[in-house]
Formats: sequence, structure tokens, C-alpha cells
Amino acid sequence: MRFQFKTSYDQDIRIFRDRVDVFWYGLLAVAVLALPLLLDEYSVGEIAWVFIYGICGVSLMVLVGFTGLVSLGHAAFLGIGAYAHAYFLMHGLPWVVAMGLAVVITTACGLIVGLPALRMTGIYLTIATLAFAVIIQEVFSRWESVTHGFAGMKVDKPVIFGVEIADDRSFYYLCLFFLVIVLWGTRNLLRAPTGRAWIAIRDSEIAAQSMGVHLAIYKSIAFAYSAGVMGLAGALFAHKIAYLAPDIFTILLSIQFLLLVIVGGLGSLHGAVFGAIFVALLPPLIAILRDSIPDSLAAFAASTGLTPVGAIGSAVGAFLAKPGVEAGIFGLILVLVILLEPLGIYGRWLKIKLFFSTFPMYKAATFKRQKSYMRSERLR
Amino acid sequence: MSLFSAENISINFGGIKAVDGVTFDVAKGEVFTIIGPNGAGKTTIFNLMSRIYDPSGGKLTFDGQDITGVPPHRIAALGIARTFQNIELFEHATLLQNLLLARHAHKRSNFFSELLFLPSVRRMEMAHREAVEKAIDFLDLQQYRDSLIVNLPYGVRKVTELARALCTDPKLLLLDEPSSGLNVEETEDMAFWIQDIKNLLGITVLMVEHDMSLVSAVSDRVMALNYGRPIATGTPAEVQAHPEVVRAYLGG
Amino acid sequence: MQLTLNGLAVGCIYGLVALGFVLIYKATELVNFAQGDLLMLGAFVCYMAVVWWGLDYWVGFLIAVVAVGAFGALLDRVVLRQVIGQPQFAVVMLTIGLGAMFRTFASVTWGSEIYTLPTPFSGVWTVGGVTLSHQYLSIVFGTLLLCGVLYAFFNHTRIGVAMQATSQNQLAAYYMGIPVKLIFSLIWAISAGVAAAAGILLAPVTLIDINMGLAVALKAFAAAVLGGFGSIPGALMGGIVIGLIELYAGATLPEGFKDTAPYIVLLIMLIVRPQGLFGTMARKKV
Repeated sequence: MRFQFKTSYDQDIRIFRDRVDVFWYGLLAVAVLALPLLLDEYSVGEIAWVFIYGICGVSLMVLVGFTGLVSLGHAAFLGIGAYAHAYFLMHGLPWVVAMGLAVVITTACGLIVGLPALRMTGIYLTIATLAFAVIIQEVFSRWESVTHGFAGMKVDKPVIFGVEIADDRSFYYLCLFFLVIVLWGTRNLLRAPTGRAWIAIRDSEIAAQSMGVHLAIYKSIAFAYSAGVMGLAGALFAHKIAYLAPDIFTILLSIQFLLLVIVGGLGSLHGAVFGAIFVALLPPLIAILRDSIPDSLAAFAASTGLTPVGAIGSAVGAFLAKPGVEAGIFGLILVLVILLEPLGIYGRWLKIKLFFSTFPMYKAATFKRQKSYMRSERLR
Repeated sequence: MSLFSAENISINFGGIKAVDGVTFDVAKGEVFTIIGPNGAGKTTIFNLMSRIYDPSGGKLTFDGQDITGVPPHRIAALGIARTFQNIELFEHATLLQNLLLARHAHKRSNFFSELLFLPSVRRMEMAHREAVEKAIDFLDLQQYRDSLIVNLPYGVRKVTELARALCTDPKLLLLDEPSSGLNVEETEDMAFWIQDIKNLLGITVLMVEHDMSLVSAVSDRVMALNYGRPIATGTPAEVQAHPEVVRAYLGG
Repeated sequence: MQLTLNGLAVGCIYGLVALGFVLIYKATELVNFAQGDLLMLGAFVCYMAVVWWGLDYWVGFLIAVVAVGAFGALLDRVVLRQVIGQPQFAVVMLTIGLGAMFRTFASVTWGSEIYTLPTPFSGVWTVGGVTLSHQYLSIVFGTLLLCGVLYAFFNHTRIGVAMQATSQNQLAAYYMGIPVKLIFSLIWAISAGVAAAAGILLAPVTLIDINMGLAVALKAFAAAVLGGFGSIPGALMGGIVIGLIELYAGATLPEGFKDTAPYIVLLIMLIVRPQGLFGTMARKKV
């Protein structure tokens, strides 16, 4: 068991608590940097998705997990960022400028959506963002001079300061770089007054107000920041899929982002990253299982003479190959997470960590949820 | 010299006059208590003072400044802090974060310096932390510093709310039923703390309270309220003996 | 005129689904995003009964409504009761997850093709030069009938009144000896049954496929919000308003407005009146 003795206030302000933390995060950094050298090009490409989804996750985590405003329209911000970036690139602007403009534009859109949203609460806000997303999606398909409508829009490989990021390995590092920047910036905000004001708004608006938090300003900042980060993700997203079409940025994508933050664990930046790993890697995992289960079980059946096992294997493979099964598996996992582990993967992670750090004195009761009664969100 | 004065303030809720022409003033350095039966309009006066409600008539003056039209988020910076009847803490944050939030009115940083966490922000955070630690020491909350509020017992939460209010460096502290839900010993502790706040920190206290033992122990002056109207003002003993007050509580 | 009838019919469907939203919300404070998928399940069950098993349309209708209603009650018992007290948002996501599971279930069981449900309403009436198709008329009358039955149920039966009481104040209802848990399950059953009925009525218009529920649910959700979430007449009115806007916008405005016009109206309405047409805005007491 490790006990941390605190000797200065700075220890609570620093990003890494102590040397042990620095060691583990350093190890993680080395692993993530070395990964592309060990894996094949396809896997590296898939892991780049984790970083892009991670940025999306941070964006939504700020809004949903920290400020408590639920948005069902974040795919629209992603789309705005992606289209703006692609449009400026097509008109010959340098990559960095195009990305900067994309971020500025999405931030502005976030502000514009945020302003009317300030007066709404709970479910009304959610539906307003949904309405916004539906309208924006229609704009994507109709504003053909910019977005090329359903004909689609091709996005070239990024060229930064004359260097072309041509292969998946270099793109991996690019995405990683931006994820680290976004995580760092968000962590900074969270340990400063702005982040505390967000958390205060989430937990009690009325007390936050009495303590001097200007609700409208801090909600707007949360909206704008979240949208801006989403715009950044959008620019990378555009390069990653290489071909933009309006039907990518649907409500289903927005729902997937919400799934990401919930499964990862609401109210923690770790959760955003865990959720991204889950959302980005589950589809390829399902594909691998689909291909490998029938074969391996058939081989097993052949070697042991148990034919039913082989039949089960091919049935599972056929089931996984059906269209729409992936969505169902996502749904099932979402339901199980909310029922069994409302704190998400991060909550489970904390428990595992605590188990080892207090071994052999771990008590399951430490995290036992108190019996919860219906808390009315209807204001009477 | 009065620190705060309310002149003839009123508010209606759907035709019911919750507060009906109340006038009182609080002198610097005193503990002023408002008592009254349930629904007499005590908490409503607090909500008017922290500008959550707009009065339909009357004027509020604090420290020589008219605050009737000041927006609610400016109140803390002026020097008025409050606690809530049913505890409004930030439940999913640690006690330390709760107290640091109370320093919000004193922040001197903008969004971009916070995004980069410039050295100036770090210095400011250290200064805030020092101010917060004083409140933690004052109210003996050291051992709960890093606990989430949801995991704390009710009594500790009540003290935490008091600490949070103190962290805003107030001139006037509004306490809405500080003893509700506390047991006898905790109530006694609360009485000592209120006296210390008045004597050691020199903060003026305006309080709504039901527990007459606490009221008598700490109050300099008491105002009794019934149906939104003041019925008596004076020392605790005077008000308790006032025939109208007796009638308001016992009926008849 | 024809446009109005069609708009009215589509609006009735939205209204019915919105009614399901509101019933559940009022009673349990959960927002059930799977409502649209219950509608889809209803349509599929009816299709299965009529086409696969060769039963009469009305028998199929009844089977579907009862089956989906029972399924709704089961859902409440097994899943949703566990999450009472958790943040609203978590529950919304839970129902979204359930909806995704239902869609997968439907595509595995019935396949992902598009089906046509044979109905007895195929003719048209021509009244004064206006063609009224039986399909649309059946939707309007079906809705009216259903609303009439529900109204009578809520106001004139013991259990209906008990449901109203539970919606107003659970704790008080519980103390008065009302079996609150049973009431919740019943409310789920009713709103799932209503969704199934809406799905069957809608089937001849949009045809049956696994994604039919999603679009309807989103519009119905808009309708419920338009009517001020929590008001039953508001939900029906909101549904009809959305249906009419949609059809008129589709007929008169440039292409692309058919699907967005309802949302534009909704956004404007929310900006002007954040609490909905019939809703009330309350403030948290401190």
C-alpha cells in the first residue's frame, strides 16, 4: 500500500501527483510512441481512430460530464469542422490555417447554439441540439457550392509545412499529438476556476450563482470550447475518412459519442480516452471474431470430434455477419454498463487500482452505492 | 452604522404576499436573527437578498450601495455569502474543490491563461488554496479535505457549506437554518462557530433559525416574522416574550 | 384539403407516440427513447400474425398491441426499475441502447427487407372532388378512438385515477395504498401498446422496415417538447402541428424543408418559449 505524504499545495495542482505517476505515464507514452513500429499498417490506422474519437470524447466530456449539458447534436459540430477544413484546403489555404479556421468556425457555431440553449434545461436542451443537428445535416446536403452535397467531397492527405503526411504511421503521430494537446488544455481548464465553475453548474446552478459564477458565460464557454475541440477532431476525421458525405454526420454518430462518454465514465478525462478505445476498437474486434470464431471452433470440433461445437461456431459467425448486429452489441453493452457500472470503465479501473493498492485490505463496500431513491428532476 | 438595510421590501407569488413590506437593518458586527413559523417568508427574504428573486417593491442597500438591481452572480463579489436550508453543495466534487469554487469571485485570470495554465494562474491557485486552508483550519475540516461530498455525513456537509460561504471573504454572512438536521452537540458547535465568526473574523451574520436555544445563545437582535410581516424586533428575550410572537407560534 | 388530411394523419401518429413519451415521463420521469422501436416491433408482430400465420387483420392488431404492451411491462420490471434515481441522461441512454437492441432483434428475426402489411383500408372516398384515402382516415379515426378509450380509462376507472395520482406524487400515492410499482408497469404497458397501435396504423403509409421507428420517434419527441413535455393534450396537439408543418412544407417549400421544417419551428419555439406550448416553468426551491 502506497501512501502519499503531501508537503506543498503545488502537489494538488500538478498534473502528475508524484514520481510514481510520472513513471507510469512515461511508460504509457513510450508504449504509445513505439506502437506503430511494432504493428502492421492496418492496425496503426485503426488505433489512429482511437485518438480521433478520444478528441471527440474530450469535447463531449466537457459538456456532458463536467458541465452537465447533454447534447445530441455533436456530430453536426464534427461535420462543420470537417467540411470547413476540407473547403479551405481545397481553396489552397495552408493546412495549419485551414485547421485553425475550422476550429474558429465550429467554436462560433457552438456559441450560436449555446446562446438560446442557456435558457433551456435538461430534456429541452437535448432536443434543441438534436433539432440543430438535423438542420445542419440538411445544410450539408443542400449547400452544394461548399459541401458538394451527396456527390461527396474528396479530402487529400495532409501537407503540413510542405511535408506530406502520406502513410498511416505519420498520421497516427499527428492524431496523437493533437489528442495530447487537447487533453493537456482541458486538464488545465479543469484545475483552474473555469473547470470548477463547470462542475459547480453541473451539481447546483443556484449555489454556483450565489458563489459568483455567471451561469450564462460559463455555459457559453463550455459550449464553445466543446464545439471547438469537436471542430479540431472534425479536421482530422476528414483526412481519416478521406471522403466527406452528408450522411456520415447523423444522429447515430451523435449517439455514438454519448455512448463513448458513458461507457468510458462520466466526469473524468480518463473516461473519454477509455471510451474512445472501446468505441474505436469494438467494430474491428467484432469483425475479427466473426472471421475467427467459426474457423477456430471448426478446427476444435475436427480435432475432438465434437461436431456441435463446430455448428455453434458457424452459427455465431453467421449471427455476427448479419447487418445491424454491431449496433445491437453496442446497445447491449450500453445497457449493461448503465445497469452494472454507472461510472463506466473508469469507475471499474479505479476499483481495480484500489484493490491492488490496498491489498489485502480491500473492502467491496468502499464503492458500494448507497440505496438511491428517485430524485425528482422536475422542479416543483 | 448599518451594513445592510431592507426598506419596505415585498414580493408576491401568484397573489400571495410572501413578503409584505418588511423593513429592517443589520448593524456592522452583530448577529441578527429572523425567526417565525413555517411559511412566514424568512427564506424568501434571503432569496431576495441573494437576488434569486426580484422584489416587487422596496429597496435593498448593502454597504452604502443599492443592490436591488444587481445580478445574482455579482452578490458574492460585493461581500454577501450564504448557505442554504437544504444544503446546495457540489455533490460530485471534493470538499476542497467546493471551497475553491467559493474563491471564484476573487479570480484574476482569463480563459486563455487558464487553458495554458500560465505561471500567473498557478500563483493565483496557490493563493486561493491558502485562503481555503484557513477556512478548513478554522472549522476543523482537515480530515475530509479530499472526500467527495456525497460520501460525507450530513453534519459535516452543513459545516462544509459554512466553510464555503466563509471562503468568499464575506462582510455579511447569510445562514439559512444552520442547525436544521443537526444533533444537540453539533448545534452547540455551530453556536460556538457563529460566535467565533462574529468575534474573531469580524463578519456580520444574518441568520434564519428555528432552534431558540441557538438563537438566544448567539443573537444580538431578533426579528419575528409572520405571514410576511414583521411583528416584533428586539433582543432575543424581548421578542420571545412579545405577546404577538407567542400568538403566532401557539395560535389563538 | 387532402394535404390537411394527410398531415393530420401523420400528425396523429406523432401524437400517439408523443403520448407514449409523456405518459411514461409523467409517471416515472424517464424519457423513453425506445418508443419508436416499440412502434416498429408492433408493426412487425402484426405483420407476422397476418402474413406468416394468415390471421385476420383485427386479430393481428390485437395480438400485436397486447404482445408489445406485455413486453413494455416486462421491460419496466426487468430493466428500468433498476435505474430509478439515476440521472435522467443515463436513463435516456439506456433506452437508446435498448432501442438498438430491438432493431437488431427485428433484423435477425424478420430480416432487414421492407414489407407491406395488407389492410382492409384500401379504397378511397371522393367527397366533393376531394379524395379521402381510407388509409389516412383509418389513422385519424383510430387515433380518436384510442384517445377516447384512454380518456375514459384515466378518468372513469379506479386504476386510471390511481395512475393519475401516482404521476402527481409517488410518495403520497404509495402511502395511500396504491401499488406504485404495478402502476409503473401498467403505464409502460399502455404506452408500449399505444406505440404498437400507432405502428400498425402507420404501416400502410410508410411500409414496415426496421428503421421505421427512429424517424417517427424523433419527430414525436419534437412533438412532445413542442407541447411542453408532460402535458397529454399538448403532446397530441404538438404531434398534429408537426405533421401538418411537415406535409405543408414538403408541398410548398423547396426540397429539403420537408424534414427540417418541423425542427426549425421547434427551435424557434424553444428560443421564444423554452418551456413548450403547454408546459410550465418552475424554479428549484432553495
